[in-house]
Amino acid sequence: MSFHDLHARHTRLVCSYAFRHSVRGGTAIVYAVTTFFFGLITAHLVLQPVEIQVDFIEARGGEISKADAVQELVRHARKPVEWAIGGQDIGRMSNPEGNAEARRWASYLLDEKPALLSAIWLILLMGLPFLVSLGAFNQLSGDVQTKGIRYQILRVARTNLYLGRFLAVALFTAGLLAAVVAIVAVYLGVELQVYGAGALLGWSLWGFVALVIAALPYIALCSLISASVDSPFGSLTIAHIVIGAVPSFALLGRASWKPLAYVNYLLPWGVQSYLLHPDASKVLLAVGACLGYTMIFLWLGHLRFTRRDL
Amino acid sequence: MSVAPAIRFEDVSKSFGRIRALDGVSFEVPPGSVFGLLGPNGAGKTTLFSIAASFLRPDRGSISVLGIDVRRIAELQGRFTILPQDAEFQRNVPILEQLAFFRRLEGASAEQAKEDVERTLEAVGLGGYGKRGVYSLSHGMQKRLGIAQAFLGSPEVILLDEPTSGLDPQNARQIRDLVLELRSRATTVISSHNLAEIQELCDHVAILDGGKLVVAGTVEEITRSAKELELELPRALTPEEEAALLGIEGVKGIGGRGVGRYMLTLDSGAARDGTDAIIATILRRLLESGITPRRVYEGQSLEARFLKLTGAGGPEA
Repeated sequence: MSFHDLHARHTRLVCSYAFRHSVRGGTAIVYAVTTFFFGLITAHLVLQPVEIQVDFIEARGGEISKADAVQELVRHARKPVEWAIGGQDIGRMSNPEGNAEARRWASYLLDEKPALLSAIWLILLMGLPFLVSLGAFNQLSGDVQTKGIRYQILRVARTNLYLGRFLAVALFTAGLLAAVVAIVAVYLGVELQVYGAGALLGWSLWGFVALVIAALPYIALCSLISASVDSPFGSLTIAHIVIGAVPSFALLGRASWKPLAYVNYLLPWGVQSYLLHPDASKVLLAVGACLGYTMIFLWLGHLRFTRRDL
Repeated sequence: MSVAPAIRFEDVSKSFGRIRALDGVSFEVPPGSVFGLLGPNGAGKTTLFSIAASFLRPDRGSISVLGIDVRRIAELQGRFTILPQDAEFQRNVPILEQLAFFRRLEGASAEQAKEDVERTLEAVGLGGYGKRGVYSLSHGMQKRLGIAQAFLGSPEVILLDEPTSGLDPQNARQIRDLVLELRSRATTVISSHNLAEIQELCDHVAILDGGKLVVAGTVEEITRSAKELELELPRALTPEEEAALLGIEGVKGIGGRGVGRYMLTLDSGAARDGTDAIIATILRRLLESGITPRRVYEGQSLEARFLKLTGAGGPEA
């Protein structure tokens, strides 16, 4: 396979057209609403306990600052966060070194960085693959099914069509994530006022970048599925099954045979949480791995799309 | 020096599972021609178009358009268009935007694309519909929209897969007129079940049957090759009058084709001059009997030839 027929103007035109019309399409509206709903509900679930605790104590005549309430919450959240970040790594929870590593990582997320944002980013990272498939499942399958793609095949090389539509979904997803991250950050800054503006802004920016990088391989995976399955419903179903089955199989399988945990690495599930790691080398590795998965899925999808009958 | 063909099909074969849709099809479409592709349902016409447009890949063989192998279809952008069968437009995107996007992919600027689209929509009778969604168009209008996208810009080769199917007579006439207008600037290949339409529009035809090429050539070659004379008379011939026609030297047989319609088989070995003399004698004999032919057609109509060649009209003469 080669991208020898890549044409920047064509890719840009396809991307711009797909982006504009996906915004107006029903699927994109569902995708946007679901992403906002999931993002804001996640933020709500993380922030609400702080507000409830403050209200509860004040109602009983006591006094507690929001910062103290956050610290109290962080104390309770430390173990689940350690599990969330460490539990995905093979053998980490069962050896002392691994536990120490998880504790250091949790401390970085909860003590050095705005803890509430860290918790939100961790939850979003886990839900993101399923959300992304809602917006990316129909990159090609619908137009192949209706044969509408035939109007374009003589006018634009398949490579440009394939990449243009992938980029449109990636940009649309980035826009949605930027909006969710901005709303959460502004709410935290204005309403709770427990973190400094600099810390909040910096961690929000990195949270956004990490979410976008983590989303890319799943968008590319959906491109591959969408290029292979003619039915949009079939494409969505297969995308959800694949995305959900990989971590489930790894989690359940390793209980009986440890190496089955490696199944997790068929998708970026095993590496994506490292985007929030304290070590820059690990972060870079995670970025590289996510981009690597993206390239592999794009390559496979491109291979399929450029060789198949349409 | 021979002129390079607009399209060259070479040994094209394609199977879908165990069904052989095309089997070693080879023929050429001359530049500047209006070429008809005929065949009964399932003959492989749409498959051949789809391979030419690179929607499908052949199992064997190759197709070149304007001298370029369609496996390098990107090199034909803007020079080669198609009206695909059963392809749908995006329902919720305004027509103007969809077509302007196609034009822009062919290299036009945004303003030029808009102008081209408006002019083309006007030509197919859809002027004023540009801002509407496809969902608001009738079946016939959607067909015309498909034709509009095929006519966009300045294509040198256009494939039209059943362009008038589903259109009322007025719209079908309009499309046929457009094709005739295009004759001077593009090679057009039309597949159709409407044989009268093909005979009216096309100067060349190819007939496919069961995935194989039965015949290809000019319409005249194909219809005249049978050495027959079709007569339409104001009344039926009496047995004596029929016998008198059979008595003419060079007339081998006479068959009825309905009231007042006859098909005379002529001596296939006769030279052009000889055939003209036989026809002149037949006409003279009819006029002497007080019968003025309403219609005389040398050779078979395309329909009759098609039915014979595809086995639907009895064995080949």
